[in-house]
Amino acid sequence: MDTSTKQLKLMVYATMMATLTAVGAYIAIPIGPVPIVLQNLFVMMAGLLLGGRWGLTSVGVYLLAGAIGLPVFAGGTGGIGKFVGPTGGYLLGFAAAAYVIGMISQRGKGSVAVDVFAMIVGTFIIYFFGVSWLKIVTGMSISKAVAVGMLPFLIGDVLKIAAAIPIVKSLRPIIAGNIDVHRTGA
Amino acid sequence: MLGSARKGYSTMGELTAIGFKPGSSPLHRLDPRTKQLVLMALSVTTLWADVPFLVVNSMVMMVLFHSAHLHARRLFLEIRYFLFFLFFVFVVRAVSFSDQMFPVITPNEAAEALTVCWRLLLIVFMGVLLMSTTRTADIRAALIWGMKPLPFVNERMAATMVGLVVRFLPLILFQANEIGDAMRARGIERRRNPLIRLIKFTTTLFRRVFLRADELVDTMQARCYSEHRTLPELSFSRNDIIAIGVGILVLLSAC
Repeated sequence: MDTSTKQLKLMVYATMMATLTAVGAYIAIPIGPVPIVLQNLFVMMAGLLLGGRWGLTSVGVYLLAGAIGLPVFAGGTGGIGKFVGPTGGYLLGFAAAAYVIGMISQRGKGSVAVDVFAMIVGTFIIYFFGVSWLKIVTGMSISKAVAVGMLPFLIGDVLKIAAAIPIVKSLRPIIAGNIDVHRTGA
Repeated sequence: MLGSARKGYSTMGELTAIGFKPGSSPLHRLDPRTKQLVLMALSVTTLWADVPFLVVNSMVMMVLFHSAHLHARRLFLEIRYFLFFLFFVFVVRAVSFSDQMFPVITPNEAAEALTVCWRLLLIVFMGVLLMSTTRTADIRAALIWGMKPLPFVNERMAATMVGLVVRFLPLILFQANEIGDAMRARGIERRRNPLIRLIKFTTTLFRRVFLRADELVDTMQARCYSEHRTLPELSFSRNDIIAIGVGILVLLSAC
């Protein structure tokens, strides 16, 4: 496969991952009393499937689409104002998390333990950005911000990490058939 | 398009109806770069502003909404999910617990909580105003213009990718609903392990999307895809200078 075709494939895959991240803001699967929104699972998968650079590109395009006003953020909203709103920190955290997850995962060359480690690190990056910004914007104490913006979602995050492993295992061969993220360091 | 929430898989919202609404109001006629610049400056100032600035800002918003023919009822309907969030923020900020663990609301804390909610609501209103009075293609062109000086960013590729997101978002949402329906029809809700639902749904959705991605690559290559495409022309006018002047005056009222 020539370089331009590979580049085009990576671009289209990153676009589709960005669209899936947007779709993830709309879809919830009820597991237990709290429905699980799939958005941050899809952010983690962008890093795992596309690697650091293209994972970051994918989330960057998602954020850009939201910035120009497309309804891609949670609750069907969009606009640049969302970035300075209370959930703006999570949005920026998504970009950092996708990059870090991708970089760690690339070094693990498909190892399950490394992938799990990468997702745990990525999850805490999202909360670091999200809770810090939530605290600044709403003026809550750090304990209240953590109680509102992190603790209720941790169980769901554990389930998402557990689910991501078999999903990524079954999807990697499809992607690797076209572009080898781990070998090319894309 | 997405239907109401159903048991098994549900949609947390619908594609919002807040989008570009054609018109000839002063806001419609402004350059999108001016609108984005003023919006960003006002949003950041609003976050830390006091009540007098919020009053001035709210009055300006009301005038702009009126001139753009945007109705308050429809607006509140569209942002109803965000209003729930604001209520939550208000409760968390305003309610504290006494020594006997009774919930207490003091007037000072309630006033502070209301101010925080007021600021957040204004920021959302400003975003809605921008989206309602600016074409997506114009906002995209403004973003390309804004991204040009950034190193390591291919602004034309970014624009193409955003265009594809616009095209594929409704299609993938539709597919996600189809997969949810198909899985329910096959009795997925009877599976005891909750992770199975998550894994089966996500794997199927991703497989279909990547299959479509491969088809899209072939289609783009067959049509000699190139990053160099024609963009809408943007130009600053006298109205933009006036708008920036008004924006600066409003910002100064925060000092």
